[in-house]
Amino acid sequence: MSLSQQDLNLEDAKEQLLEECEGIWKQVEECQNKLTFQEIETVPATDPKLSLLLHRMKALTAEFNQWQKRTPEIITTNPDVLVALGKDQLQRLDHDLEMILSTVHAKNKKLNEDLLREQQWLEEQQQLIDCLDQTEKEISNQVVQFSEKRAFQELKSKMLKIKAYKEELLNALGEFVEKHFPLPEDDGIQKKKTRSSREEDVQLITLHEILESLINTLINKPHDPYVTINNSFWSPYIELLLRYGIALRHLEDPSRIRLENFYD
Amino acid sequence: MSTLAAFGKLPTLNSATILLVGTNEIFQQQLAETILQEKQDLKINIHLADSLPLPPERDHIRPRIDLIVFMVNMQSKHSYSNIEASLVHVDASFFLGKVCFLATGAGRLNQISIEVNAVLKLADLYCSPVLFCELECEKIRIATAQRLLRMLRICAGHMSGVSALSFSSLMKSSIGDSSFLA
Amino acid sequence: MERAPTEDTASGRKTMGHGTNFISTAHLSRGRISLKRGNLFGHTPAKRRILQTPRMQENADARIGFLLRKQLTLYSVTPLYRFSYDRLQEYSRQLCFVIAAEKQKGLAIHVEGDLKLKVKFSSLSVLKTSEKGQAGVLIQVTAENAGPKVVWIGCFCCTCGDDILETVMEDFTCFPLFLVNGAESLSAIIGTWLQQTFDCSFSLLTISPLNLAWMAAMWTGYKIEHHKRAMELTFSVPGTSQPLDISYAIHAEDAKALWDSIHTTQQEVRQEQVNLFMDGLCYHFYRHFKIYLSATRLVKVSTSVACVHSDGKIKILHSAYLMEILALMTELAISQIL
Repeated sequence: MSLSQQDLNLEDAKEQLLEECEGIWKQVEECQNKLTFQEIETVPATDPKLSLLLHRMKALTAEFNQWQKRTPEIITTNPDVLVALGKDQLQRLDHDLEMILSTVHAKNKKLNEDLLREQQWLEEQQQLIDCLDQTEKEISNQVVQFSEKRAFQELKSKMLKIKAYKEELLNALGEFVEKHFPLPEDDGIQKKKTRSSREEDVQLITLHEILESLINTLINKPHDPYVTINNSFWSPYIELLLRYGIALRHLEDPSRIRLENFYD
Repeated sequence: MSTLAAFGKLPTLNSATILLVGTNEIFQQQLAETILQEKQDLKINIHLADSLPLPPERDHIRPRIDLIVFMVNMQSKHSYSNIEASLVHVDASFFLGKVCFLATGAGRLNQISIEVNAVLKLADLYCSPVLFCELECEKIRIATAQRLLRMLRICAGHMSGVSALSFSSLMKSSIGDSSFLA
Repeated sequence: MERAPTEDTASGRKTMGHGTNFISTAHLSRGRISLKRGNLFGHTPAKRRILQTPRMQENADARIGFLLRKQLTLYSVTPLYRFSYDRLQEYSRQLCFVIAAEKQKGLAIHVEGDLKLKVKFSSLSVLKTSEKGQAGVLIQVTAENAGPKVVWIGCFCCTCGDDILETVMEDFTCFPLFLVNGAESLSAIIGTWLQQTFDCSFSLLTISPLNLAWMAAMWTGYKIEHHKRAMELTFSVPGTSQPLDISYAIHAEDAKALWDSIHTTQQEVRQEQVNLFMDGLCYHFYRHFKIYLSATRLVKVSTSVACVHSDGKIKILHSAYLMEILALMTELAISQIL
């Protein structure tokens, strides 16, 4: 019994709804009829914005009045329909609100992240500023007034010192070389060589002088620092220099040697 | 009649119609497909047109248009002048929130033939919103389709309590910043 | 800390007009986007003043001749840090060593054989437009053995840039425009060295169809006595599977007559006049061929004065209007940097 009662209710509800829909549709058709009598106006090409804004103002005022007059009306009196409709609407509302909630959460999260990032950046900039301030202070302590004269004096004294040092070094080198690498005695070795009778007449130069000439050539002529070996160079000393890597032969001409590069 | 009427026909139940006007068919089809892919409980009709006025032969089978979207291709001056010519054939009631401008191709600034300011000015002149869209990028296309669908539902009256006019008044606040247009 | 300005301008540049990046009106939290004269979205100005430069003297032809009749690639450059005109010799030497070192490393320089390349930096005062203006800087790479033949030239210039650029910070020199002609590999090496030495950044100057239309209109108006060439516009048709180009050639006199009838104001060129000029040409084309040129994209403009392609390549044919052309390019370069 109760089942058919429910069925009957459903049928009633449906019929009622359909009737109400028909009623509303009739109203729509009446409005439409009134509208078709309205003239269609197009927007003038010259100043569309003004006319559109006026039109808009009129339409907005009309709508506003309509909203003022309107009272909320229940669409149907049937309770079943109302309940079903209510449930449906509440579900939709719930869904929309959940969407809004998640959007707002996401937005909040992003804002928080942005805030953190900006704060970090601010901190880094602060640190940078502090660091730079410190560096500036330290450097400003070292600021010394630049005076040309003093620079000149300093340079001069440096030059003198270096010259003195150079003299010292050269003297030391000369003494060392003289002491440990003397010229061979005339009477000792050369008498054995009969071939080199011509060479006896040539005065041998000391290792010191060889080194000096090599150094001078390297300094004065960097593009061609080769010294031609002539008879005045005592060959064992040449061999000594070559073997210890102090001098190098020229690649093509064995009679020329140069001082090895001692700088990088 | 040559002008497109806003309220000339009865609305069809449970459906909404959108009209895309533009010279580039490929873009229109792409956008139409993306719109149709969105899940809706509403029947969406999409009409594509080259320019207005619409041919009068099929006027009786055409449903009432709820939203007109004018698609301007920034890389072609032809589409811009075409749209300008079409705007004259539209009923003034459409501009109360049922018209939207869509500018495509503005991403490649070194290939545009129309200035962005010109499009913004045109939209401002007709009191309608402008959307910028890059149709090649899928995400932007889907997002634009969703926005258009929402506007369509409001314009077709399926959102109770919001009318096209009130909605467009809400949207105006972001576009009406005329400090953009020097 | 000195790196900050160039970094910001570099990031600001990257978000605008580069490939398929999108317009973003969000403000960078650390950068400063300076909107000079409401130049949002890089729009072209409503009108441009016609430059009143003194005509260059005849003997200047010889000094400028190297820029003419050559395909120049345009680059826009951010300001150079600690560049000084007194140290040009030093720069020449350093660059010479760098090129020799790169050659040793085995990078192909596309120069035949073992050419000894020599670099020379020189200052070009002939490119100065006013007393306060900056002289351009010319970099020439010559091959000593075969010639001496110039194999690569690069030219920094800043023609009439001072009124657009506001105060520049100290230690920075502004040369917004860089012209290059020569082998690509040399350009790469020299470009890298310049970017490292002066902390600047080079980017290709692409020209939009809007600006190309301006150039077509403005250059048609220039008077050339001899060597008149037909004005040619090349349009690229979008949406076809293979690249399709439409080339539209007009007699120089006809084009000039059309422009003169539109352009009545003497001191300036307006956007409407340019639009009218281009619309007239497109309509004429439509009447004959029923093709809407306005649906295509302008890529190349070729007049008697110069030819320019939207990829940033330009060929200047006459020395008479060189300064105006360079001024326009400088303006475009500046708007690309900002």
